[in-house]
Amino acid sequence: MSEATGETAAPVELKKNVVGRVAERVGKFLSETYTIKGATAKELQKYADTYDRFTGDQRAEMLQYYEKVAQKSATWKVVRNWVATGAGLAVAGAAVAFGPAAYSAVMAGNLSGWFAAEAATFKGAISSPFIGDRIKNIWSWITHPAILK
Amino acid sequence: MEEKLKAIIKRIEQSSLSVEEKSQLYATISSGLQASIWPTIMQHVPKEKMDVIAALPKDKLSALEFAKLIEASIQDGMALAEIDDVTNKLLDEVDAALKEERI
Repeated sequence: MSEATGETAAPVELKKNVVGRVAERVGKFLSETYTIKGATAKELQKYADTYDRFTGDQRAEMLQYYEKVAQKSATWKVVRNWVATGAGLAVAGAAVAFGPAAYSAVMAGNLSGWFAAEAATFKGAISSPFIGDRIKNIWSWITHPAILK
Repeated sequence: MEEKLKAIIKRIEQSSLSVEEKSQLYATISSGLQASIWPTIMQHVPKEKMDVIAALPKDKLSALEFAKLIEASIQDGMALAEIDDVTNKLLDEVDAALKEERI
């Protein structure tokens, strides 16, 4: 599935709730960041289209390579998982192509299965009765997406 | 980023939001963080090499060569420092948004 196409970013009414308002703010920040960095939808699309052509085994190979890259940064330990799994490419595509409103609409849960699936992941993560475990699980899921499509 | 994110998670967990709202908030934060890295990566990826790889037929695509593009983008440390800055700023936005919601 090509993720950074913005195909799911159809204009919809935002939910007027906490999630919608937080999503709107995050979307605005992303859009401004992309503008500052000069990223274009075309560059993202090229990367995403190329990434989509790799198999799950090839993506696992990429992750293994990244784990050996000599970078002692804590940031790299998180980012390498996202890069290997293409995490965030779809949202990035929507933010660049359509601006914060589209991102906010996606994140407010008005659209498509992939957001619902991600939210379902966190519902599982916060099922422990112990807050320490819940925090650990949520952090783990955010920073180490396990699915290599 | 870790401490900042864990502090936000703790506040959300201790709030009166429903499980549904909490999980959607986490999905929002997660997706936002993951999306935030790509502008920086795109800025540092060697563009000519990216173009060459993108034009290859599928049977010639090498996961190793593709991974080396990313390695090249982070090698001097600048991209990772920028990513660290952006992710922290995104979490600052989330923090401010939650405060507005009295969470």
